[in-house]
Amino acid sequence: MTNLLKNELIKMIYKKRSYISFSLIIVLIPFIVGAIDHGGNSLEKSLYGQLSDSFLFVGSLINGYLATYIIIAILISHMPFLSTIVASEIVSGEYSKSTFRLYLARPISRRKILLSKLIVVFIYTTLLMFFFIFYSLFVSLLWLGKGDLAVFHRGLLFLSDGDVMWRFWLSFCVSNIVMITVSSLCFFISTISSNSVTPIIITISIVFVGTAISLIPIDLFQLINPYLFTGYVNIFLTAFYDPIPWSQISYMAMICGLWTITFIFLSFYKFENRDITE
Amino acid sequence: MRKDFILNFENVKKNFGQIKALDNISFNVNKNSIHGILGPNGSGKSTLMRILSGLIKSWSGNIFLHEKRIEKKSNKYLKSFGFMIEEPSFYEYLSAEENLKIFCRLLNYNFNVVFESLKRVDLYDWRKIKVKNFSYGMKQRLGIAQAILHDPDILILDEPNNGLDPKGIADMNRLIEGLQEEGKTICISTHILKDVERLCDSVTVLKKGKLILNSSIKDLMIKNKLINISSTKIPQLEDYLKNNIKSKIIRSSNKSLTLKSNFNIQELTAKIPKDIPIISIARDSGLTELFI
Repeated sequence: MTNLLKNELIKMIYKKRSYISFSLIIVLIPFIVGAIDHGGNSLEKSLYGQLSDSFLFVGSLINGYLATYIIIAILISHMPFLSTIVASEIVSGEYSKSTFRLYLARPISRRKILLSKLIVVFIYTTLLMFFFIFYSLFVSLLWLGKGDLAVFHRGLLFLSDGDVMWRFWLSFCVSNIVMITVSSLCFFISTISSNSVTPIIITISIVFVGTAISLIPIDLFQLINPYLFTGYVNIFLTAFYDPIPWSQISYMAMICGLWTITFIFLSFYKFENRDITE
Repeated sequence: MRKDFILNFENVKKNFGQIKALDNISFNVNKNSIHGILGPNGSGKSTLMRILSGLIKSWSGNIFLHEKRIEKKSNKYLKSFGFMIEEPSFYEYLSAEENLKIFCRLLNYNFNVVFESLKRVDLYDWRKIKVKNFSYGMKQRLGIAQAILHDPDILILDEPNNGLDPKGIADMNRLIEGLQEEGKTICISTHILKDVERLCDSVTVLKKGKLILNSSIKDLMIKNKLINISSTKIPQLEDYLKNNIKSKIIRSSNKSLTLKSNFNIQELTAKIPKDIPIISIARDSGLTELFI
């Protein structure tokens, strides 16, 4: 299994497309942090404008923590685009380029081969989410410095400097659970598709429709939304609540876990029984 | 089942929807032989090879390797095989060496075999070059290198001479013969019928998924009694043969003709007048007729 994993990691590392997501994040984050720094005053006014009538603010609310919080809030719904880049083509790419003709004609079980690919997808998704959150934090803190984090949760909630870092870790963990589910969906579609564009399009369409369901205030949608993993794309926000809603996080983990297991099961079933005719 | 058979196909069937890709195919492959699998496009050659390589899972019938039935659920038997199915497709963004190392890791083999295989197909000096920069012929040779990497007993080579220049074809044929001398059994599919007659010991011909012929080349030549003659005066030769020898001309072109004759080559050569120069005269297997 270690050798299979090595193979998949080598394939991923040597492919240029694996770096697209990281490159985008590297370029985009300093740009947003710079914009937050530049337009700090107007941002502060729009965020806390009405509250300034009742409270007296000393110093600036804009700091590295708030900038990171804003960046995550803005970009998290777009992360499925980036996190599925590897998942979309890790299996379908081998069909379309016919490399499975040589790779699968060996005395190795298809199950093991697919498992190694799945592990690489999970590693990539986790690395990307880690990089997204902690690179944002690094750039923001370097540029804007530390301070208390002010967020909206049942009014204005101030989280002290020392109480923030572990919450970013928690936000990384919970949002990674959702992204792993999204990647599993894309991975499943990759096992049944013979080109690598279809899995991304279908995955993003499902996430888009699911997100729309979570946002449209219709009874039926409200009823089914808790059972859809797409309703938890913004779950990272709960890491900045006080107290942390552990039951909500546990429920999300259960729902996403069930979807992930379903997608993985379907992937293995389809892949193990598929005739490779490409 | 005879012990000198290494592979036995028994009523192998495969349908793609309504299309019968393979219809009750049964034949044997002798140990340490070069066996040609022939047929026009869509005859079922590649499907047969994909079944053997485990790429196609849903098929019926039996295949025996060393008299042991191949179980569809297990692919341990693949250790005895080296495959090159259709054009070899590699990870183009990796070097030739890294591509072979990928296959080595799958089988837990030492990387030394990578260099040995690359030397064998004359690609050692190109080992660090990315496969995307390789010509088609080089990819074919790399395809052979990956097939012989784990020193298998049986090689299944689909169109190994495809895309090769005449020197490349000669080198490839020499390599295949060399592998046979080492004791390997080789199944090749090719469209170059001259190579089949020269290289193969036996042949299976498929057409529209059906088995048309399974025979040794020697038997085929004896049975068909065909002789191919090349000459600079084909029309005169054709007239002479029709009028004096009562031979049935099977086909003729500007440069050569093939006839059915009970005479052997020496007898026929002696009968042809000296003013009709013969460039070459040889037995013909009749595969062209079957193939067409």
